[in-house]
Amino acid sequence: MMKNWWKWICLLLLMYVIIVALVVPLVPGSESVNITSLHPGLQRVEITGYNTHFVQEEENLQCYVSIGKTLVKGQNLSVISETQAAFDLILPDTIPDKNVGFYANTDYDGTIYLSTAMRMEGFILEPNTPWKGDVITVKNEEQQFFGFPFQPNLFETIRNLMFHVPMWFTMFFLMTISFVMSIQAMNQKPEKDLKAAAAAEIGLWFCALGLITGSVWARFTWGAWWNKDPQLNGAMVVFIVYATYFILRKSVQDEIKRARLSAVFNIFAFILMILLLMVMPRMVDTSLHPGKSGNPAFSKYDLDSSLRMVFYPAVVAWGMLGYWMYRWQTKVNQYKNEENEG
Amino acid sequence: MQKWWRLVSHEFTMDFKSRHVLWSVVLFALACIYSLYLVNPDLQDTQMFISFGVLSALFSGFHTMQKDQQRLSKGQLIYWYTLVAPRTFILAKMTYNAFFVVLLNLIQCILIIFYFGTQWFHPSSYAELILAILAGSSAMGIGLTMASSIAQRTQQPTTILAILGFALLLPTLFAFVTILSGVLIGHTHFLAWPLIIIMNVIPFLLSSILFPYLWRD
Repeated sequence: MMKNWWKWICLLLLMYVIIVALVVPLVPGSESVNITSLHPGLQRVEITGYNTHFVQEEENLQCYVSIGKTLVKGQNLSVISETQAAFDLILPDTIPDKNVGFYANTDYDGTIYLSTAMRMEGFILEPNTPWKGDVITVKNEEQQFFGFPFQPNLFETIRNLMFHVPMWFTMFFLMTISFVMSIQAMNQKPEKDLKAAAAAEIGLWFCALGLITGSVWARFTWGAWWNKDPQLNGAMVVFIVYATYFILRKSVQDEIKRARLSAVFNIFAFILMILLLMVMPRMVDTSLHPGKSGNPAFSKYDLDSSLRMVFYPAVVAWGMLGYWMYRWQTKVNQYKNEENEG
Repeated sequence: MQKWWRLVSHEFTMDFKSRHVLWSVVLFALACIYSLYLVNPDLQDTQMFISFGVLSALFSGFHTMQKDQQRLSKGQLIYWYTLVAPRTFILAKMTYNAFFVVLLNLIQCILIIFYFGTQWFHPSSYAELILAILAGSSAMGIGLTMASSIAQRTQQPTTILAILGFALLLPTLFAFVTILSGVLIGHTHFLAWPLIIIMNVIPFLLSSILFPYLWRD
């Protein structure tokens, strides 16, 4: 029991990560408005939120629109459902700015904000318009409960961060183990070769899982299962290279010879992996992948640290699981080896 | 160093002695490009020529390796190992193969211009183009020699060479295509040149470190 304490920690962490990653709701956010253009005078705007509580907080609800730095309060507020509210907007002929933002605020949800491109029809643009706007008093800017950040386009797929990213970290971890074991196998220790193979095998599984989780995520955010993206192609090539490693192993019968050959290949494969996943994606400026070519990674929008609270345990938990599986696979390989010999 | 040069010149003599093999590789390149010409004589798309050129370069690389593998039987290998250090042996092989692939690719480049004319062919600088072909082809030759030296010790060397070579060559191909399109179309990424130089140097260094281990059969 006490000997395997880290396995229990791993299981607990995994349970925590999976449950929290799937159960915690997203914080309120605004999804869309029903109009695509604005004109001077009266217009009715319907704002659609996500995970908001408009009915519950009906008396506190405030809707307003920002034109540049000026705020315009919505009149005749009516709540349609928990996520939908409509209001009248009266705009003057002359406006100082063309940037429009839509806001809704309740005490419980905080302020939700949507910035979309609007066609501005029939306005006179005058940057120095003396326009005071309405005074809006907001009691509470932040939402009242714990949740993951709401991001347009991402929505619920933000949870994939707890699965997809740790898979690659674990793969790197296991491939590093495999690399070190291969170097030792070259230095007169052929028995380490079995460990290198075990680490590479489990690493390959994590690579496959990373590809699958990434592909599913891409389907719902980018619109296709596979994209022309250097990060994706690099990952696929790494998968092929390590799959080749096992084909190479299977095609050599002699044990010591196999240890040397596959160690040589494994060392090269590790260097290739670094090149393919760390260098080549930075060579192309047109990556869609988060964190590449100026795209936001999670740390940019993670202001309330709610993602970090799950992400770091997730990295540790998946890494421990990978290490556990690697030890198991080593034993399996050793048994198989003994069986073949005997 | 002297042994290295003797080995390289020996490779030359061996290839010269079996000229039919040499010519068959060149003939294959010719057939490749001529069949492209038959399929579409009016082709003028630079991007297409780059991808086709790199593909046929890959083919000629594999053919060079096969020529190499056929010539060296297991007995001959052991004979060589008694004469020279494994490091010298593999480095000489790499040098010769890199040279051979460079030569083949230059021939292919000339053949493409011969058949398809020069309307599509406007390199921003000829020196850079020659350098690109040199660096890309030698990286191919060196990488494939390394794959071949691993594959030679397995039961099915040709199949394993195809699988290993594909995996090991992909970054090289990527950098090669980037540089070629940079020279012929425009905008090379600044990392492409370092990457192709790395792909030249890494297999060279790795095999000079690791080949003595492989050799101990």
